[in-house]
Amino acid sequence: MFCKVYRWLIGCSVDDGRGPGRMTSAHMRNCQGCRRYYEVQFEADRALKKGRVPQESADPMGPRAVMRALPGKDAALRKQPAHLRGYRRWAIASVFVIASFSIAALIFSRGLSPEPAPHEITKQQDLPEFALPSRSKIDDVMIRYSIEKELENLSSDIKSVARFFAEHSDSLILTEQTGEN
Amino acid sequence: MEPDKELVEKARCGSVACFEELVQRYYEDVFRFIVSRVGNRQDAEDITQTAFLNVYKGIESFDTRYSFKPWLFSIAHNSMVSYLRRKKPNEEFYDSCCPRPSHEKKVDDADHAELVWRAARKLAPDQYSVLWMRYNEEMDNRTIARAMNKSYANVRVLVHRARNNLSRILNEEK
Repeated sequence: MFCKVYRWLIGCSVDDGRGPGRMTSAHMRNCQGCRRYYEVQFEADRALKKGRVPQESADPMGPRAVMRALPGKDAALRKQPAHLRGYRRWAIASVFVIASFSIAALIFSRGLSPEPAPHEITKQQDLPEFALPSRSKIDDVMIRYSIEKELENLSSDIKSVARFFAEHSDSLILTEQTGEN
Repeated sequence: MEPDKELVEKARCGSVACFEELVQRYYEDVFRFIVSRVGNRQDAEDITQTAFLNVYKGIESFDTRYSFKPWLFSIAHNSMVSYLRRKKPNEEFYDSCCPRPSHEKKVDDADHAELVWRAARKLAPDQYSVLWMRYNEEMDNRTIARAMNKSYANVRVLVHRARNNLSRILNEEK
């Protein structure tokens, strides 16, 4: 039932070059499969330790062949050292960040400037279409401008009426008393 | 002798001489690893050279915190696997250059080594590479795990299975 676990432990004990533990030994006394597994692992380990590499020597010209075959040896081995390549990356990144901040600042400064009067807008008619404010914005400014003018005119009318009443108040009171129109 | 780490750092910065020093230092090891599995000297030379070219191409991605040798062996293993996928190993050629020891005569240590590693060639490439790194290069399981891009437990399982299969193959050959 626990043979899988015991076999794992057997393998590990052979790996570490020590004998099986107390519980593993007890299990192996009753389990022939695990005992066989231990023998196989132990024998293979011993054979491999004993059987060091067959000594095949390489062609002494092999390393030279590798060096000759290096792709674009002069170009590929970069002129610039690795630590400077990092700086170049940072320089490009910082230029990019500065440029994007400048563009953003330019856009915001345009957006926050006071709205031009209608006559200023009309002066800008020479500009290309994409540079002009939108149609609805122009309408909005025009309406507001005309209302302000109206109010200005109205206030000047009220002022003149008040002035008229002030100047002719005596004669008006007299006319009311006598019942003349 | 300059340590590997310094040579690798200099090779990364463009020193051809340092890269050449690394090639000189490890060419023999990689060649022996490959020829023992592939069984053909000419192909083994080609694969070894391909492996070193791959090392050259990928040396920038190498993490210098780790040891160079396991990384080199991982590249050699990958080059060997892609070769084995393309082509079956040439058993006849291997037999002609390294004659099979007969079981009748007394088997000495060299013949025994020959027998064991010949039998190991029948294992899957992963199992073979794991056994090679463990028993010939004497790498520990953690280093092998890093080289093979596998977990520690996975490497242990591979070693156990490889030993089991090797024992079976040796018994079949007797």
